[in-house]
Amino acid sequence: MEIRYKNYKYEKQNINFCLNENTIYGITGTKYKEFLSIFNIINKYTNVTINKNKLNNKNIFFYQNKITNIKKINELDIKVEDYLEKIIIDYDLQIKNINKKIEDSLTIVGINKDKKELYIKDLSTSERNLLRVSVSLLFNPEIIILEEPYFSLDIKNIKRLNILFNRLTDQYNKTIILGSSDSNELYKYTKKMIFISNNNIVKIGDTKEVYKNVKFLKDNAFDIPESVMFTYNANNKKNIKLDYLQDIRDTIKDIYKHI
Amino acid sequence: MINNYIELNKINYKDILNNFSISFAKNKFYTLTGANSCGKSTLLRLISNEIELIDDINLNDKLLSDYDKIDYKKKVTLLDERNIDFIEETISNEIKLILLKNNNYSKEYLKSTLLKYNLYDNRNKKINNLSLEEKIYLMFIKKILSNYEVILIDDIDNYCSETIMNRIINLINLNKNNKLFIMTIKNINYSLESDKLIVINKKGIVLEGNPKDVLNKDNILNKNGIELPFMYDLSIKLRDYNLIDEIILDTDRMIDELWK
Repeated sequence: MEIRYKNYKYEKQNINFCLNENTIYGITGTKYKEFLSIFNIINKYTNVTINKNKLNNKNIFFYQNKITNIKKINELDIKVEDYLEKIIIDYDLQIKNINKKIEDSLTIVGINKDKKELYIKDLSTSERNLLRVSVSLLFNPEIIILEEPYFSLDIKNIKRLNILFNRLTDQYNKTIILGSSDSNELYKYTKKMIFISNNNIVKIGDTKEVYKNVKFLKDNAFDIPESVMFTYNANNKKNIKLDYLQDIRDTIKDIYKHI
Repeated sequence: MINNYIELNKINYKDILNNFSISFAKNKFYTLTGANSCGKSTLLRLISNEIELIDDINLNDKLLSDYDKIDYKKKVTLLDERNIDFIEETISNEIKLILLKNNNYSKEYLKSTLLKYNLYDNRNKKINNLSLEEKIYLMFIKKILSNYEVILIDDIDNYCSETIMNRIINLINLNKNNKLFIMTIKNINYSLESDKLIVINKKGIVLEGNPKDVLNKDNILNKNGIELPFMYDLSIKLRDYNLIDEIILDTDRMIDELWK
């Protein structure tokens, strides 16, 4: 599925906004905690009409059977398996083997399938966050939107989630949109970035390339990844040419070459 | 000799904590971290008695179960994003209420308190219109003003900006006399101003000590799901390659040291 908007004018720029499949996008706003209403953006800039279909759960948005945005799952007094089964039934997801689907959707995000018998309120914060992704996958959407996807996750779970995201995009042609205020995470884990200011798109591009443009980021008060800032300062201060790298081990090797 | 104010001895709770022992002393600020689902939040909820466990938790040498519940709640409190509630409509009135309860209200003292805690400019702001991090900060100030002996803080670095977190940590260090603060953290940077960093798993303590010493054990931290902050990680690796002699957290200083 492709969401496309052509020739949007922002100041003197023409911006073509197009979300392609097979890609992990990051979306971020200014560092002054501007609320990211990703759906407002998609509504404003695309020709896909989005009608919010709020059934029983105001935290689940499922649009035109193609896009999911699962917000925070609170400490609910319902068992995990019952919650997931209710979603399958309420949204008429046409799943033959519900029990297997529930177990698979938990296992794939790293939640032990035995935890399906626990109450959601007894899950840890990180498990409830991972459960969001499980719920998303029940819908088999073409586009998955997650706001603050790495919220409360440790590095092992972040890596596991990223392996999953890459598999979903590479093997299953899904589009993943991650909204976050953490530039370090977006820099490391996304392929393309969308920058928003006052609910307007001000920049779209390859993650590595757009984050090199430190002046743009500073001028627009966007958060800058620590590794980018280090490279930028080193290059400017010492007139060297370190590369902008996403993995710290590559940064170390690059520093070694330039000493 | 440090007297332990809180002691947990080989406690078991569901399959979350197994034979788990830990202790905390007063006049200290502890930061607590560990892999996901290792029991950090559960530990704080046990200490605060939000989850009841009959045996083997001692506060000031007395079993938790021997305390009157109301008295215990006056001594020990838990701050997390779930336990946020206010009575009054505005920030000023909320703080005024605390001062009245403490029998030390006056207009001048209210003003000085609001100024002291960076609340004066927004004093008439309606609490309903505050962001989550502003509400967390206000709850924290309420807890400081309410004279608790033990203040437990869970998971707020997920919700609060660096500015607010640094403000909170600064206030903890200014107010820890005769108190005990325990804060769970995801971002290890916030441990650097604490007295002790403790890394736990389900079975107990994996590492503990001065935060800078604990952060040197990057292999163990990584195995326990903890990511070092960029400058710390860079420093340790550059030091291992003999490119720098010590841990440097300031970017400019690091650059000057590398390219002398």
